[in-house]
Amino acid sequence: MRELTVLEQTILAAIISLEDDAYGVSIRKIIRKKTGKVLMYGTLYRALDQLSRKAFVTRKKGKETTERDGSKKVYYTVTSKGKKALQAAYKLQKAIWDIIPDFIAD
Amino acid sequence: MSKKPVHPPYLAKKLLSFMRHYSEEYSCGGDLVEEYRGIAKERGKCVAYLWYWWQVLYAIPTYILLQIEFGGTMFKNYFKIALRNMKKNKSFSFINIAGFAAGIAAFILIMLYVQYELSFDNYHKNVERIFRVVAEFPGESNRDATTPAPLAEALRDEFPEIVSAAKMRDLNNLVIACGEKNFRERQLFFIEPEVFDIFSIPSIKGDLKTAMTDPFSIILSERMAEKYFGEEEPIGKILTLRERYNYKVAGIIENMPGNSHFVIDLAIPFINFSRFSGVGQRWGSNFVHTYLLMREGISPEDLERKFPRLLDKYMYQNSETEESMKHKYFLQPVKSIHLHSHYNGEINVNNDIKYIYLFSSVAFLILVIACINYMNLSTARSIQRSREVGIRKVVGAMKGQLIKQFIGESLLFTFIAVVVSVTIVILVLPVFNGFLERDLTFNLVKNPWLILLIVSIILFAGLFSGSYPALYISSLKPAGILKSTVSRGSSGVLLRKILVTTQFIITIVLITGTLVIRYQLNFIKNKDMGFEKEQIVVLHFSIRNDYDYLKNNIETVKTELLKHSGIVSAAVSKCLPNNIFVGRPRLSGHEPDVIVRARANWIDYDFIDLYGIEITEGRNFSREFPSDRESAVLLNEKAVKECKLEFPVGKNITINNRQTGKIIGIMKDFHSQSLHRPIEPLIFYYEPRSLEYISIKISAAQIPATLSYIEQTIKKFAPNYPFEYQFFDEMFSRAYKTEQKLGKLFGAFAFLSIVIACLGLFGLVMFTAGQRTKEVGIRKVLGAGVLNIIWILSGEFTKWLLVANFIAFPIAYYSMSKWLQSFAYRINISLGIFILSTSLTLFIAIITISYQSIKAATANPVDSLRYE
Repeated sequence: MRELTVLEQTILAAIISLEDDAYGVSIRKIIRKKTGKVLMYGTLYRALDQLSRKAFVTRKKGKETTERDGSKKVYYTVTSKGKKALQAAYKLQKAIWDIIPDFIAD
Repeated sequence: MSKKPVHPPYLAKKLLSFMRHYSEEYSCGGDLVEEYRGIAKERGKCVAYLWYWWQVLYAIPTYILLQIEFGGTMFKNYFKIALRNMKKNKSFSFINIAGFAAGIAAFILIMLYVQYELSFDNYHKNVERIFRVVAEFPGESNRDATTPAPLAEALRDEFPEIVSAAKMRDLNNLVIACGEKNFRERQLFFIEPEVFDIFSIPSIKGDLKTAMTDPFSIILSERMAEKYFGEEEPIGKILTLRERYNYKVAGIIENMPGNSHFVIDLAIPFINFSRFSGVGQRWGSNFVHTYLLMREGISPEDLERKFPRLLDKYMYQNSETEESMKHKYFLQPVKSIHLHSHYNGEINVNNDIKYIYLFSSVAFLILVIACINYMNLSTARSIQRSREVGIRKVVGAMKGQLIKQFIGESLLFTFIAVVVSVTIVILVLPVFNGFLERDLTFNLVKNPWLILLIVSIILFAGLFSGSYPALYISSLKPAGILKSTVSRGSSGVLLRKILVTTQFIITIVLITGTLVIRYQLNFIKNKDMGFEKEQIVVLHFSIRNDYDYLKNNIETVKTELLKHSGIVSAAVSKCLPNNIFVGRPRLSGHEPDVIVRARANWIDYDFIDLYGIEITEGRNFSREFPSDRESAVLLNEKAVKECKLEFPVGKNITINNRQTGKIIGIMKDFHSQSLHRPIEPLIFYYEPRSLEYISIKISAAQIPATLSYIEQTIKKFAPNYPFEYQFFDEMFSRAYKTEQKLGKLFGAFAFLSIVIACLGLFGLVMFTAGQRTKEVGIRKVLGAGVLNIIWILSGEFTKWLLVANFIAFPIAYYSMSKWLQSFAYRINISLGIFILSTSLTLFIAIITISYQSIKAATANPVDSLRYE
């Protein structure tokens, strides 16, 4: 299986951290807050689309709200498959940085 | 939360909704709205607006990539099939794409030209408010582009409505020396510093306005600076005009764009004008161009209404002048000069809006032909693919998928054709430019309309030609298709025939047009102008004070010239017989009420004989009558008739209410101006000193030797004359250059259109012949002859062609008579022209058709019947 890209890892992490409130705006916001990266919606949704096609995330429609001009929020949750993939990615990362443990210190 | 909800930009939202991924399923639209509101509240609506658009536009490419990524497999298959089809029908695809590409290329080229012509003078910043003052003389139909010199100053003084006014005047053919080098310059401008307030002429070096107040400075364009000084610093260098006057280079301007009605390459202050021309700066004579820049919000009509009062004050100085004899001044928007103005004394030859209309319609017609052709062939071909559609349907293709496939395929084809056509345009443009003497560029960045045009051609032609097979074939029942009961595709036949007929109507109109233009040009060439054109060499001496020595000794010059055996005769004159336009003296005969405006020429004894102008009554100027030098005049028949003179020879005529001229002879009417204009009354004076032209009649033998003898002789009298000769017949035909170019261009486009139309016909016959292979085979087995079968296959097309002819004739007749009206002397559009164009089209079309028909008719029926 292909490894997750950094973008995918970031998004998965964001969804997990947001628990029940993970939808487009909030995902983008938390990524911006935590990592400083500003995602374009085009980029975000392309990645979300790919993640859901690979069954790393599932979608669920929320309630209709007036402030979104009648469009329903779509909430994302990470599947167990997605969690596994993310863990694998973390292990890989850790292994990489363990090669040169002193490098990060300064 | 604000009370009123803010809505994101409608268009962007609409755009987003096309990308279904982003709007519904994934709820991206909602996210965007939510965040849009947030941003609008915090940082203002404007920022939010831009942000929204940016997000939407950014999403497009990623969306497309995504689509391709997942829809990839099917897409690849469609692409492969499309290319295979192209390869399978090589000749068909070639015809199809080539014809279409040629059509689009022609269209783009013409549109580039049209756009260029329409863009004249548009680059000036205040172009809407820049006007030229033009004058109208009492009793004259054509206005003058020139006005009196003091007008600009009077305008500046009198009218607070204008920002500025300036005059300028061009001087042609001038020799400029720079050290040892001599250059002959085509145009030098005398300008006032205010010119730079009115027009946008950016400076590169030097302060232009102060430069033009110092009488001894000169301004050069960038290219002139390079021509004279190369890499050296031009400012401060000296240029010598007319061997006497030294001018210091004080400013460099950017090269003015080619789409200007005047292009300044060299300019000196207007103060110098009298020195160069000997013309005084009075109100009486019109010789400068006056421009003004209006203040904002002032209408030109308001200003025009104040002109009579201005003229009363300055020109007539409140004296008693009859209202009907007064000049009238008008304002002309500078933008309209290039295409709408044909006044006396224009700076350059202007184009005509009529030709712009003509060319635009030709361009459009060619595009239509090309599109029709393309659609015709594509639909015809697509029917052969019904079997493929059948199979696709059997294995489970949905109708929507098939539609997508066909439309996508035709979009691909159109795209290829457009790429080819753009290549053609880029390759042909230099030639086209050279021919038109324009500097058109094919620049997509500068001309966004080109991109729009190309995209819309792709979409329109692609969708239209793809929609027939897409909608029709995809709706067929697979069982029927596979049993091949619908292979004739009869429902498209009528449509295709109408399309082909339309195509030929357009082609015939263009061919007839070309023929009419050709005939008219031949008519001009061969028309007896009333004077001779052959074997005459013309030397031009433009300026009044120039070459005094030569002018004072002109009789000696002539005697010198005649010593050479190759020179038959020599004569001098102010104007050449094909272009007598100067002056407009008022003539009156016995009846003082009859005042005739004539054109004047100043000639010597030999002019009339040299040009073979016929004297019908009386005699020519003669050396035997010394009194001829004083007051003798020659009139033409038209002048005699208009002055209502009887037995004119020997009588006196009053000129401008002051002088009297004694009529010694009457000239037979000749065409003293181009054939666009009727013959005008003429008056000839004897005055060799006002010469501008020396005409030399030479014998046909040893022309080079004769020419070099002429050069040596002239050099003796005018050492600094840059020897340049012209042949009169060439000068004469140059007057019809626009028409000749038009004729050639029209011919080229007519040719192109018939080629495209025939390609279409060829393809169509190829297709029908292919469809009817079996029928032909059976007919042959039953005993039909080859001719019989050819008739069956091509008879119908011929019928439609004839129909096209009958529809085309009235259209061609109407439009070409309109064009011919611009000539005072013209041909009649005869039936012969129509017969010729019909037979031409029929001939070409039948050749096209018969190639395929004969091939089908002579084929062995065994081959065609064994086909199953």
